[in-house]
Amino acid sequence: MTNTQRSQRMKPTPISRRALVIAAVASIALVAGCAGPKTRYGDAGKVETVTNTFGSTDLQMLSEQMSQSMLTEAPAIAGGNLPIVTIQEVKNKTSEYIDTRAITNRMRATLQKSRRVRFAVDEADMKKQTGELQRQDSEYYKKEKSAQMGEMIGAGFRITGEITSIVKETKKVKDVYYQLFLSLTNIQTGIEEWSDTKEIRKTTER
Amino acid sequence: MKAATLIATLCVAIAMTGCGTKKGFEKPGFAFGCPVGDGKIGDMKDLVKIKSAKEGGRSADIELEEIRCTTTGDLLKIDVVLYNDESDVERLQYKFRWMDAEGMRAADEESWKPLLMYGNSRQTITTIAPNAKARDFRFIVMGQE
Amino acid sequence: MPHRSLTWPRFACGALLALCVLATSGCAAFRSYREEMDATMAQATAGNLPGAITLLEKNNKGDRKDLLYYMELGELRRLDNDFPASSAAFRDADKRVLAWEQTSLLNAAKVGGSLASYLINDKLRVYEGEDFEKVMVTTRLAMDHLAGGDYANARVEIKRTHEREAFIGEVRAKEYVAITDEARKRGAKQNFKEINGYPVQTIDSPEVAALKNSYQNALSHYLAGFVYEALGEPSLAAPGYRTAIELRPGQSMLEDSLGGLDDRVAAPDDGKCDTLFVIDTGQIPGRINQGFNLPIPVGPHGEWILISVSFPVLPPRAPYDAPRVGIDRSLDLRTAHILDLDTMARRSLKDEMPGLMLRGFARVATRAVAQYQMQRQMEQQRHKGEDTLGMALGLLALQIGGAITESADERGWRSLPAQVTVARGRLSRGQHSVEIANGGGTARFDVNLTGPHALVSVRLAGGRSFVSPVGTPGGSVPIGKARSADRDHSDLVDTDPVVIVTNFDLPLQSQSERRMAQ
Repeated sequence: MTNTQRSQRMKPTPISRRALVIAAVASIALVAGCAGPKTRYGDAGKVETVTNTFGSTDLQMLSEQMSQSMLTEAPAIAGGNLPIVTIQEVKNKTSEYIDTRAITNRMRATLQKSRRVRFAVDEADMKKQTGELQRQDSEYYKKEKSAQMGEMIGAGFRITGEITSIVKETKKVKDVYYQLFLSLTNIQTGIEEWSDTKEIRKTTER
Repeated sequence: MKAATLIATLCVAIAMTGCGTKKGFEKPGFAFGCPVGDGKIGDMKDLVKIKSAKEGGRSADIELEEIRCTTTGDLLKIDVVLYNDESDVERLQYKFRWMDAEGMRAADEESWKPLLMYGNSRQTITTIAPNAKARDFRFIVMGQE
Repeated sequence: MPHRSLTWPRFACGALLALCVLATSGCAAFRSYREEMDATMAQATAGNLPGAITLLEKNNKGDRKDLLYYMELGELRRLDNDFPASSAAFRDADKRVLAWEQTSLLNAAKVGGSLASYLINDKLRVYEGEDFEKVMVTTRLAMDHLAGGDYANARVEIKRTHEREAFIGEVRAKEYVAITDEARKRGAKQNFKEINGYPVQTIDSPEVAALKNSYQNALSHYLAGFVYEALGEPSLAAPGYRTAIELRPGQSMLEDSLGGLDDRVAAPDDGKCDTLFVIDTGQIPGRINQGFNLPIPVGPHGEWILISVSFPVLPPRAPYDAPRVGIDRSLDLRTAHILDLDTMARRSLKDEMPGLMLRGFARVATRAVAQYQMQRQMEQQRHKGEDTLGMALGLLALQIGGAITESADERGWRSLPAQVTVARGRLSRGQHSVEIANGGGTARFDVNLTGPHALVSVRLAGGRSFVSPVGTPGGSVPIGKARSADRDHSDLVDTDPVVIVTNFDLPLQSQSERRMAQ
């Protein structure tokens, strides 16, 4: 006789029913306890809406849209005469920890791949650059096979900007608005060649 | 009988190219400024069909009305007009995929860009090729989960 | 009744046995965490850190050490200036926080709890850590790295700190919005200020400020500002300073940190050292078990039973004793009161109180019913002329057991300071004598500043001071012995590589000397 047959024949007593309920509850608890966090690889370009703080999609959109705008609108770049540009700091005026260098780095990579722009060493990297030049200038290096001092090329244009945010929240809604402003200035003349703003609005209903 | 069919087909083909020329199919392999290769393009609907793709489980409930292309310098520039013909707000995401002249991928996969469309509204998406190698593209759209 | 297999006398024996087992196993239910840590901290503040650590180990002998043990150990090792060992302990603490964060949300409401805590005691719960303690773990990790001059790894911990805090903030957001709305209705003004182009938004309501400061740590934000600035990342430094100002408004030293940020980052190296002192004072208040006897109505005829119940309370608040920081007997650095852990501890107890009460009364109710049943049973047996000795023993066991097991959970990270003050100044590189004084005395030591940025953390406790080495990007410089007025200039530099523990106003003693004296 199989187990099922035996159990079908047995009349469920109140105790066995209670035991069943307890077992069920326990197994649910066990299953719930065992269902640990699952980790998988995802799409890096996926639209991310986990929270409404500055996220990967915002970073990707802002940098992509900005570099496209620069490629089409900025006369110095759209003209195709391969200007040399340096990136200055993009000021973070939001209350969030946004690494604006991540935005400019992404833009820089996109612009460089378009082969319309070249980049000169920026302020943040200057120390490393001059340090290496000084190192190669020492007596250990063959003069003709090492980088010479005084040969660096200065940028003709500089990119600068800022990111601001406006956060409004009530008990039910949190609304965040980001605006990235960038401008491209001719260093020699001081004339602003291009500027643009890109904005993002995100709303979370609680 | 067979010859008649052939002639008829030819006539239609000629008529169609004639139409195309009128609409400004300026050079072979191009329609509305967009590279189409050997694709047979009679009107905007055909162009939209071969230049766009819907991906993902939940497809976006919008209509692609127009795709227009031009170049700035050596870079391809694209306008896509979307139309939400329903009264509901539609949330979707899109990206472009770039190919070179040989049909090989010309740039890294783009990230999805979220887009909100109000009911009964049109929106134009503008983009520019990431580099001069990119000679062809697909517009990919997906509904937002 | 025939189906009752467990008779009362047997139950009583069982209860007695269970109690004995609990008592002999040194179960958590009987620990007084406050007493343990009071003794440990007494050793520590007397300068005997090895002794304090030994005591901590003695009190946590089991193999399964908990979050609390690692937090205390990390802090004690920090005071002993053994930063690698401190980091290791904090990393162990952090692992426990992470494991728990992954499986559950942060304790938005600590109403739940394990079954044991409903029946016996809150102390049987696994210690999960208060939100502010979790933030402090990564902050301390960052400070450990900074003391060793490892700014790059400090940045990692800083980033994790504000990410963890943002997560906690998300949980607290609703409460924050509600209290802000309420404050605005009652006329609190929202202030917008621009400090060198950076917007700063504050609200002049003490309730809002108190709430924000109960889960947001202005010290970790200020440190974020300092570390990101030292690494040349002003876009990340700005929100750090900005949040610190919004949390602790009206302190010019903090405002100038933000206002001067862009200029400081852009300025070429002028041979000065941007020096930050982080000064810990006092000791965070520990929860004290407070027992009450509650009369509980039971039975159909309105019988009353006296049941003991206990809740944790906190000792009265010690006033903030602001330290003064003097450099070379001529310059006073500006200071800012950046962190009030005392308030955080009070706030978290307040937040937990509803849950504590719920569990407390659940326990009381269970015990009241058991006690009443047993009393009634005993009376019935006495009527029948049966032996009631077993019964009486059982009742006694239940009552004693209740009194013993019913003691409040006193756990909490006790080696933390009560208050933290920051002082900052641009000093020329080289030797400087430093004097840090408050009501408890004056700590004197010398610093040798070698780089563009430096961080020194100081703890004033129990009439002693504990000073870390100077953490400068790329290395750390040990603290030198202070010059006293009658001393020869020549013994100004102390080469003791580890630590200096100074008695306030007493001749200085290096760690090696101290160890020898023991």
